[in-house]
Parts: sequence; structure tokens; C-alpha cells
Amino acid sequence: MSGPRALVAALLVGACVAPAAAQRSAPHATVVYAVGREPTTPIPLFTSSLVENEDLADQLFLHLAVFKPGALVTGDNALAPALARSWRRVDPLTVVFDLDHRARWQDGTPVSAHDVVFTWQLANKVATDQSRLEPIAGVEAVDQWTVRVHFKRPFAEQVYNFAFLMQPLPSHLLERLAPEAIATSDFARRPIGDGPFRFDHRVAGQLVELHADPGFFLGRPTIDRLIFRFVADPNARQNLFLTGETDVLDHIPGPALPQIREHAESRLVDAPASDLVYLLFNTRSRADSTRPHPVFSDPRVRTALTLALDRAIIAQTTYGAGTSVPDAAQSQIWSWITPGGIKPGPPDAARARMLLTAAGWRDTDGDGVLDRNGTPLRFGIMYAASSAARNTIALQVQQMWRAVGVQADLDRIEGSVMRGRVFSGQFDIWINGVGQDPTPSSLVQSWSCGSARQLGSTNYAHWCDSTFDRLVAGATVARNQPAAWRGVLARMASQHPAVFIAAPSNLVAVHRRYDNVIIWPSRAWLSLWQWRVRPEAALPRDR
Amino acid sequence: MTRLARVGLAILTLLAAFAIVGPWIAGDPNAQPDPVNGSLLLPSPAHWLGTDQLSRDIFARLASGARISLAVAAIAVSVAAVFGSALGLAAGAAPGLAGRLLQRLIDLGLALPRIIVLLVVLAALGRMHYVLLGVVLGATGWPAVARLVRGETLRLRHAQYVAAARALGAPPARVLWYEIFPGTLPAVLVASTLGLADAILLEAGLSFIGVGIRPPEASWGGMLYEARDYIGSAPWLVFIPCLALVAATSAATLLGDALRRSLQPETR
Amino acid sequence: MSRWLLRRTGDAVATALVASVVLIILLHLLPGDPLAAVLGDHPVPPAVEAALRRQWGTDRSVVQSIGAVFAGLAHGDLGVSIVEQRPVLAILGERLGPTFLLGALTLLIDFTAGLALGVWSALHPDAIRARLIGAITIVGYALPSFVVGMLLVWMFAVKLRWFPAAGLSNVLLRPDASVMTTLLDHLKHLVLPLAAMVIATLAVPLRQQRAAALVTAAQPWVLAARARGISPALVAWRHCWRPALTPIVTLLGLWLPMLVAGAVFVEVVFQWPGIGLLLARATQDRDIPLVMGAGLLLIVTVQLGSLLADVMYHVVDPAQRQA
Repeated sequence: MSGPRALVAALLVGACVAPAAAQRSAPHATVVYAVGREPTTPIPLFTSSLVENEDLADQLFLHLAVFKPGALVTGDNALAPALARSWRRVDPLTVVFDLDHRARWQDGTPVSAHDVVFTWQLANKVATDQSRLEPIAGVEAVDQWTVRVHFKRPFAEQVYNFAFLMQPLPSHLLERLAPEAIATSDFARRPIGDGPFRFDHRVAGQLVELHADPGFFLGRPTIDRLIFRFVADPNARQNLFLTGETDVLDHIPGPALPQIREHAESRLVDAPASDLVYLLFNTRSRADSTRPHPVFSDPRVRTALTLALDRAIIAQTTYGAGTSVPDAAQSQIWSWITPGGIKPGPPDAARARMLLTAAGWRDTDGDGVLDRNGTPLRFGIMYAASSAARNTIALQVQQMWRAVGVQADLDRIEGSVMRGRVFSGQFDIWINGVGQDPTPSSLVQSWSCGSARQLGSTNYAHWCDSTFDRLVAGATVARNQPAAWRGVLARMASQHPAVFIAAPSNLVAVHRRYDNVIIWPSRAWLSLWQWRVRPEAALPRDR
Repeated sequence: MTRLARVGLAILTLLAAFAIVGPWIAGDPNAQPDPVNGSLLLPSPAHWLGTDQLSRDIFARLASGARISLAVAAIAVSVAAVFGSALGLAAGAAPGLAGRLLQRLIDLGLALPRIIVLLVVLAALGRMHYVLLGVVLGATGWPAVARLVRGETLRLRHAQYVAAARALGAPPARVLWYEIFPGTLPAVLVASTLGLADAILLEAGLSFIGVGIRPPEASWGGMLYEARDYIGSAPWLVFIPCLALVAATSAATLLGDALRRSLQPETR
Repeated sequence: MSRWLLRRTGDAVATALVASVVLIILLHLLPGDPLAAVLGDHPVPPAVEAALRRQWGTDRSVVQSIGAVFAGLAHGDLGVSIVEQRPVLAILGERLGPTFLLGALTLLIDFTAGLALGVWSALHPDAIRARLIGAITIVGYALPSFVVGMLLVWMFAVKLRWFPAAGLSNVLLRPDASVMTTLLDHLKHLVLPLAAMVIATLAVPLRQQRAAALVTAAQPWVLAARARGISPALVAWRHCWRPALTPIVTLLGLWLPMLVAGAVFVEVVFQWPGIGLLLARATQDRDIPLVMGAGLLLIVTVQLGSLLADVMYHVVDPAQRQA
């Protein structure tokens, strides 16, 4: 008995001694942030659309310009300068960007127009998502700091399209490398950027530590040290925040909210987010993707399935009270189109039953499940195993549909299986969660007839509505942007290509000692370098 | 000590009865009467064990979980016992090359790490009926039984009564079936009873990391998995399935111990 | 002995090789795309995708895979992890330490405290404390280790804040911190996972040792020794400990794989960066080279463990030489 007891005692002593070692004399404002996956390639163009890679890359590499939270992204003046200090329009097809002359790569080399050209050329070779590059005809360096961009056609978001999506890479370090070798190069291991933070070190499988770049040309960061800690398990991330081992907890799920609210050392920031969660109806048969889906091709069925769900309840139990439910693909980031989103009508199970009956679905054999010509009204709901929220949604949807005689089978699968299934159309209903692009013109990628015909596009369900397409085309060049996009979303809502469940906000809990906390939509941590620690509330880790 | 064994047997019998009858009287384990106002309720006459985060009745889920968890474990143990016994007997009794090959097969089974095989096979199968899950657990659990039975067979081959049967001219197959096989049964029975506890825990663990029983079906491990987020706000969501698990596994252990004592006095 | 050992080793190597082949075949049955993590959720041009598949070897047939794995093994190369884009060998190296630390300390406590408690309760079968120990260890054994872990985290990390909630080390510690500081930090992180492991496993050696000691304690020569007036403690040491060691030694060898794999559930709860957590994650991600590497490691450990058990069996009990 004395053996283990002595050991525990020794360890307890250790527990009290350890923190002293981390102390330092210089101010050292610190943020520890736990992420779900290890960002292995935090380099623009090589992020594999992994949000952890993108978030880390945002700290290391500047965008040419950044959009403002909650604002339109259309027009030339919608964005705020970052790496580019200004830009001017030459003609409807040409924009000239002027880089900030003070900008330096962290090895001392000035950031030049040539870096921008190089990055654009590299993007054309390696980017996995080419849709953003398509409208750009050419990019050229006029002089050391001036970049001229030629577009193929006039549209309202040219500046956004080029300036936000462009995070230049250092050409002097990467030109010698073969494009496909960059992701595994020393540069990927130790990126050298032009952003507010520089890469300090990585402990593989555990953390990446960044330090402020004191010479950052937009101002010395007020956070000196930023640690991305990798913790795959959401529950463990939550515990680490509650014990004070991490300083930030984002995307807090509804069930955890009461506990986080009680947590005295933190406060909640409710940030508008680009998140959108919906049940996507496959319009094609999963057996033969050239044929229409036997159930969902009938709009009456889609309407009925939508009416049968009490989406307000689902959104509340999953994401917390007050979560907004849109009736079309509209996350909070597009609230300028209609403040609060297009609201759905109340659920109406009686009408849902009526519509299903009208579509020929009746319970002829009395087993509680509707049928038509001997086939029961039965299909699968596919969703990612990694998300507890989707599980909660699926469980509720299944029950609500059961009440109107629809049998939905839950099909919880792993992410690695998902990719193949969605691109080959092997699903009936998919609970998809997306982070929407700041611009509504991105609707084309996932909802247009053009992308429906394209093999393996992100229009996974092959939804196609020519009226919708016409409205989108008009909206991209419309003078009254909000009104035009309102029309687009209203058309979508009337067609029910999906049941839109929730546009949750990004609930972020941060430690009380931070001031000036702004959480950006879609790229949450863009201004983290400007957070401040109130000196009187500083923790040992900040000293 | 037989008192403890009786306690173990009684608990297991009660749980088995609960697994059979419970789901009938408890109602639908998936019904969500009122997810907004009826969730996370404390035990009451309407909900004997309270409700979970989606207002589902915990008693009903516990009952249907009992059916699934116990059935999976029982099937797993039975499959392992039958398959393992057959191979073990054959490996122990078969002469020459055949015996050696069978022995290699058992070695191979023991050499493959069970957890990897389970992770891979369960991921490959995806959603499955719980009976199939039981079979998979059994199909990865046989090598241990086979090794045990082979050892017993080798030991019994030299036992006096077996030698006597052989001397009386009984054919080898007859000796194997009527003399040796019954002799291996006590060891298998003891190992299986103790293995029941392991199988219950294994199913719980697999459901907990998301590859076992999938929602909406309830298994005790699955209930624990979903209850994780509520350990602070509604701890009974964790405690109730946990209590059921402990009752089942410790009862199986007690019973196994007692069986070992009475059936295999030589190991006492 | 040496000839026996040679043959036994040969068998172990052959078994490991065949088991590896079976593992490769099993991995080919896995649905899902190992490249999903690299390709992201965007459509990728077919030419780019084909090149990536060639690069990562995900277009290989079973036979080609077997060839590739063994060719790599011959050079001591286990390939490159698809998700982490680093050599598998390096990743396994990092993960082996934490797993071994957790497993070895669990075994150490199990086989000291567990054995001592086992002998003690055998010698005092009627003491209340012995019964209590028996009951507690049975309940501990009956509890799933991950539930124990959850409860420990909730109580001692979130509520009381005595110990960290997850992970292996304090991320605020500088890499140049002194060895002592680093060690203490690791120990602090180790307490809760270790407690969960010990609670879940202590019953096994304890019960085994108690049973063995009970048998010895009833032997005539022990009774005779006691009758001669030798103190019970001495009797316990001389006569009950050593003879009872044989089955325990065997158990120890068979437990070696647990050092590496048995802790999957505990490692997941505590996000302990060991082989178990790696295995669970790599299987989900279909990071085939990584699963393969971890699998080979486990296969070798299993063989090593059972070899060790056999050898120790011989050493402790030379009479049992017919294997």
C-alpha cells in the first residue's frame, strides 16, 4: 500500500513545483488555442481546405486585403488594406494593386510584386480549388511594388476575388522547388511568412508555437506568443479550457453552453459565422446517377419533408437557444442580404402528410411507414461520425419524419469514406456543414446547373434550376445587391433543394483577461495579433 | 464463497430477464417527446430513470441497451467458444503435420493484435446489426480459447482414463469426442464466463470510440458515449449505464471465479 | 535450451511475417479513401489525383502492397504517413515513449502493489480488509477504463484542478526547460491516465497471485514452517512468494502487448499521445502506412512478449521444459 501512496505523494509535490519554470521577466502575452487536427501544411495553396491549416496560415501570411466583418464584399471599396496599401481600377477588366513598401518576409527580404505573380502562377499549377482562379486572365508585375490584374469579364467582386484569396508566398524561397515538393519541403516544416507572427517551433503531434514579429510593419503585435495545441477530441478540448490550460474555445456546442457560461474565468463572444448546416436531397438516383432520384425528384416530397421538421427545436437542442434557422443557403455572414436571414414558416405535419398523400405515398400495409407501389418511403441519412452536432440533428430528424410515416436510416460514416460517397452520389440525404464564402456569388459552385453537369463538382446533389441560375447571373452584376440576392435566396427557398437546419454563430469562449477580442467570420483569427492582455489580469504565462 | 457465486448468478439472471422483458414494458427507446422542455429530467414516476439530452426515456434505453450489450457479449463468447474449442481440439489431437499446421493457425490468430483487427473489420462493415457485431467480436476472440483447449487436450491425452479407453480399443475419434472433449469443457466454461465480462467491456469501449453499435440504437457503451458531454450537468446520464455495466461484468466475474473453483479444483 | 530457443525464435519470426501479410490484406478491405485528407473537400483534376495516388501508393493491388511493404522493411523503411506527411518510423518513435511510460508504470504498480495485496489477502482470507480489497478490485475491473478516465478528469482536473485534463506535457513549457522540470511535468500529466489504467487492471495480478498463494499456503511444508514458529512474514516471503511467481511471470510476458495496444481507450480519453490514440485516429483517417506501421509494431511486440514469457517460464521453472 505504501508504494503507490508514496508515488502519488511525490507526484503531488511535482504538481506544485512545475509551473515556476515557465516564468519570464519580459511581457509575454500568450494565447493557447486547441485545434482538432494538426495543421501539417499551414501554407496558402497547400492547406487542403483544412481549417486548422488556414487559421495557422492566416497568422503567418498576409492577404492582399481583408474583408470587413458583416459587410458586403462587392465593390472596389468593400475591403480593408493589408499587404496591399491601396488599389485602383483602370477599366472594368483591370485593377492595379500597390503593395505596402514596408512589407518584409521574416528573413528580411522585401515583399515584392514578383511574389504575387509567382504565387498566382503557382496557384494555377497546384491549387485543388481552381474555381476562384478561372475569372483571372493574367497577373503582371509593373514595378517592384505594383501588380496589375486582368480579369476575363466584369463583375462586382473582382477586388475581393483577387485580394482576399491571394496570400502571397516568398518567391525567393520557393522558386527553386518543384511545386509538388513544397508541401513536404523544409519550408512547410518552418514556414517563413510576412504576417504578424513568425514560426517558432513545432512539437510533432502536439503543438505549433508562433512568436510575434516585433518588426511587423502594420504594428507590433500585442500578443507575443500564440500556441496551437492539437487535441482531436472535442470533449478533451472543452476540459482543457475549463481547467485553464487553453485560453480560447471555439464552436462551442449547445450541450456545453451551460457549463461554459458558469465558468467564471471566461466570457462568451457570439461571433457571426459562415457556418451553414443543411440536409441535402440527392436529386439523382444513388444506384444510377444519370437518373432522377426515385423519391426526392418530386418537389412535393421535398416540401413535405421540410414541413415535417421543427427546425427551431432541432437548431436549439443542437446549437443552443436563439440559433437562427434560414430557409435558404444563407449563413450569418450574408446577413446584409436580409438581416436575420429568410425565415422559414412554422412546421406543419398535417400539410406534410397531405403532400405525401398527393405524391402517392400511403400506408397501405399498416406498418406505420408510407409506401407506393409496394416500395416503402425509406432512405438513408448520411453524416460524418466526427460531428456530435450532426448526430444530434440526425436523431431528431429521424424521429420527426417517423411521425409522418417516413423511415430514415442513419448512416454515420467516417470522413475518409465521405469524400468518395459524395462525389459518386452514393447518398440519399447528406447532413452537410459548410463554411460559406464571404460572397454569395459562390452559390454558383454548389447550386447551379453548370456545376450540376460538371463531373465531381461541389454541387454534390446535382441540383439544377434554370430560374435560380438566371437570378444569380443577374445578381452578380446588379446595382441593388441586397435586393437581387434576396430574390435568389427566395427562389431557392421555394424549391427546397435541401432542408436548411441552422446558421449557427461561432460561439467563442475567451479568457477574461483579453481585451479587443474580435472574432472574424469565416477566418476567425485574422486580428488575433491585436488582442490585448489587461496587465492587472495577466497570468503567469503572460509574464 | 458459493454465496457470492449465487449473487453473481442472480444478478446475471435478473439482467437477462431485464434484457428480455424490459424493452416490452419500457416503450420506445428512441421516442423524443419534448426535446426542449423534457430533456435531462431527473427520475420521476413518468420517467423512472429520468430522460437524456433529447428527452428520451433512460429506462427504455437502458432496457434496450441491456438486450444489445448482453446479446453481443453472449454471442461473442459463444462464437469464440465453439470455434476455439473445435480448433483447439483438432490442433491438440491431430497427428503430425496437420496438428502442427493447426497449431500455426492458432499462433497466427494470437499474433494478430485484436484491437487492430477489430478497428479495421468494424470500419469495413460500417453499420451492422448487433448480432453481427457479436459474431465479429467472437471471430476475433477464438485464438485464446483455442490455445486453452489445445493445452487441455494435450494434457488429457496422457490422462489415465483416456489411456484406458485407448487400451480398450476405442477408435481415436471416439476417444476424442467421448473422453477428451468433455474433459476440456470445464476450462472452456470458466474462460467463457470470465470472457463475458471482457466482451461486455470491449463492446462498450468500441461503441465509445464510435465503431461499435451506431445510433440511434442504444448500447450501454453508446449511452456512455453520448453522455460524455453531460457529466457535469447531468451526471446520472453517465452513472446509470455505468452501474448496469458494472453489475453485469462483476456478476460474470464472480460466477466465473466460483465455476473455476468447483470445476477446476486443481487450480485452486 | 539454446536449440529450443533458436527454434522458438524461428517460429516467432515466421508467425510475425504471416500475420503481417494478413494485416496488409485486411487493410485492403477497408472502405474509404486514404487520400481524402490530402484532397480536401474540393474536386481535384483527374491528372493531379492520379499523380497523388501513384505518389502515395494508394493505387496498388494487394500483391503489390505486400511487395512494397516488405521491400521497405528490408531497408528499415515503413513509408510516409499520408496525413502527417512524415516518415512512419519517426511518428512511431515519438508515440512509443508515452505509451511505454504509461504501460510500464501500470505494470510496475500492478505487479508490486497487486502482488503484495494478493499475497496479503491470501494470508488473511477472513480479514474485512482483504474482502474489501477483493470487492474494490472487482468493481475496478468491472468498470470500463474510459469511464474511470472520464470520472477522474471530471473530478481531479475540471473540478479540483489538481492535475491537467489531457495530454502529455504543459505546452507552455519551453523546449529548453531543465530535465527535472520536464520530467515533473510529464509525471503530473501521467497521474490520471495511470490511475485509470491501474484501477482497470489491478484485479488481474492480484487475483492470480492470491489464488496461487492460497494453494501454496495450504501446502504441508508451509504449514510445517509455521508450526516451527517462523514468523508469518518470513513464511510468506520464502514459501508463498516465490513458488507463486511462475504463473505471474508468464502473465507478465503476455502483458507486454498491452504496453503498446491495451491502452487505446484510456489514451483516447486523456488524449495521451501514444500508439493507441495514433491507431484509433489513423484507422479513422485511413492513413494506411501509419496503421500498417503501428500494426507491425504490435505484431512484433506480441511475438516478443510470448517469446519472453516462454523463456522466463524456463528460467523460473526449469522442470517445465517440454514446451
